[in-house]
Parts: sequence; C-alpha cells; structure tokens
Amino acid sequence: MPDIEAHITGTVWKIECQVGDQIAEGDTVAILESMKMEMPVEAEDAGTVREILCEEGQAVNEGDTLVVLD
Amino acid sequence: MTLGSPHLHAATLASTSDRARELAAAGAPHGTLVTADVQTAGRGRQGRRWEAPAGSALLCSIVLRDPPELLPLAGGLAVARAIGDGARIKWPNDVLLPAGPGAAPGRKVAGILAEGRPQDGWAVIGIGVNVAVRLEDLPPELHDTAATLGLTPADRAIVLERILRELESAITLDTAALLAAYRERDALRGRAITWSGGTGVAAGIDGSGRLVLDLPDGGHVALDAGEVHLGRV
Repeated sequence: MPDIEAHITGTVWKIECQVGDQIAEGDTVAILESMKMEMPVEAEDAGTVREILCEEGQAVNEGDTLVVLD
Repeated sequence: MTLGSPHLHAATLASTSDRARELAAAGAPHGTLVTADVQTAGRGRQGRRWEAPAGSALLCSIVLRDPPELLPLAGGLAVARAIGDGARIKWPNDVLLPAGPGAAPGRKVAGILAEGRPQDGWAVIGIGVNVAVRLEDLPPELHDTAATLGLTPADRAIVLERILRELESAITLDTAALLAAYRERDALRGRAITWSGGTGVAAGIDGSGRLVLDLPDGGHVALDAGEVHLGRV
C-alpha cells in the first residue's frame, strides 16, 4: 500500500486530492509550506485515494503520512 | 554570471515557474532561466493569480540546485536590491515601494514565489516585477496597492540582469549576513499587522527568518507560514 509522506517538516497549506480520486504517478496531492517556500508533494505511485490524514493548516513532520492510496 | 544560462524565452507561457519546474525535473542545470512576455496562468504565493498586461512586467523563473534554506528571503532581498535603495520587503518577500516621496513603502512592485523539491535538491524561484506596467491598465482594485518602476518594456532586460546578479550574491550569504541585510529593508517592523491568529505589531525577523509579532497581551509569536496583512482587518 503506497503511502504518500511529507518530505519536509512544514505546514499543509493545500490539499489537492479527495478521497476516491484516481492519482497518477507524479500528480501533486498536497502542497506543504515551510519558511514561505511551497513544496508540492507528488505521488510516487498510481492509486486511488483511500484516506487523507492531514488538514490544511496543520503542522506536519518529515515522514508523516499525508495520504493513503489503494 | 552563472545564473541565467541556459535561457529559455517564450512569447507566451502558462507560467514561467511551471516550465522551470518541468525543466528542473528533467535535469536542467543550476541557473536555468525561463522568461515570458505573457503568462496565461501566472501564480503568486498560495495559489493567487499574478497578472500583468502583455510585455509590461518582467516575468522570470530560475532553477537553483542546492538552494539555501532561506531562499524565499534571499529572493526578496535580491529583488529589493536590484530595484533600488527605496525598495523594502514585506515578509516574506513582497517588494514594496513608497506611494510617493516621504510615504511609507506600501505598494507592491514585485512578487516572488519559491517552490522547492528538497528531496531532489532543487528549487525554482519565480519573480514578477512591474517594470513598465501602467497602473491605469491594472484592475481597479489594484490601483491603490500596486507600484511600477515606470520604465519601458525594453528595460526589463536591464532589471533582469540586476536581479540575476543580486540573486547570485544573495544565495551565497550565510544566514546571519542574509538576515542582517534583510532587516535593513524590513517594511513591516513597528507596523500594525493582521494575520489569521489576530493582530499584533511587527517586531522584526528572528534568527530563523521568522516574523516576530508583539501581541496586545504582551506576548510574542514567531510566524513561519501563513499570511500577514498590513494594518487593520
């Protein structure tokens, strides 16, 4: 099961997928912000969004799972 | 000059930063520059649109490999230096000019969007500067908040060269030197600020590049994300 993790510590400023969405490899699923730099989080595998484990505005740590794909 | 080569220019692009990100992902070297006369889907920070009449703004994005952690602040400093002594920075990196002689710097002349792929070791910094924009050509809601350098479209090349030179210098500064230079151009210090958590007075930039606010209850907060506004709600 491919989880999509935060690659930096930062704040979730935008979630760009919804549960049930079909995601292709390379699609941006969320955008993190850290020290005013925007960091797109891209899927490394294709799949269907089963669960979104973060909210916009939430602080996340490197390695935290943001989105779970089936 | 290591920034600015190779240089891809297009009459029209959806977004110079989107193109630069594609190039970076495909292996484009440090310093790769993308410019356009017109953007059809220009973006500012937090997904806001960036619009300018055709040919009147400098629109450029630069690929940086191994970018400094405080790239968004270094970009603001570089653009402010390139524009001149009167330019100030609204944290993190809007560049402001005074509305007139003696006025506080309050009108936005340039915007910056830094986007990174830290796991791949690159970032793209997108810069838009109102070089030859005529304010009367902008939407009415921007008339009181936008500024222009008032130059000609041909002057975009000169402004671009200055920005590349200043950016090249700013990204090599160590954190202390960067923050010291940035603080000299801090447009917010001492001014009333509104942000999503309330109101406060800007008290400067801390050693991590965060904006420090003095709160009405005597406390302090350091912001490293989100958005702040000058003045009242």
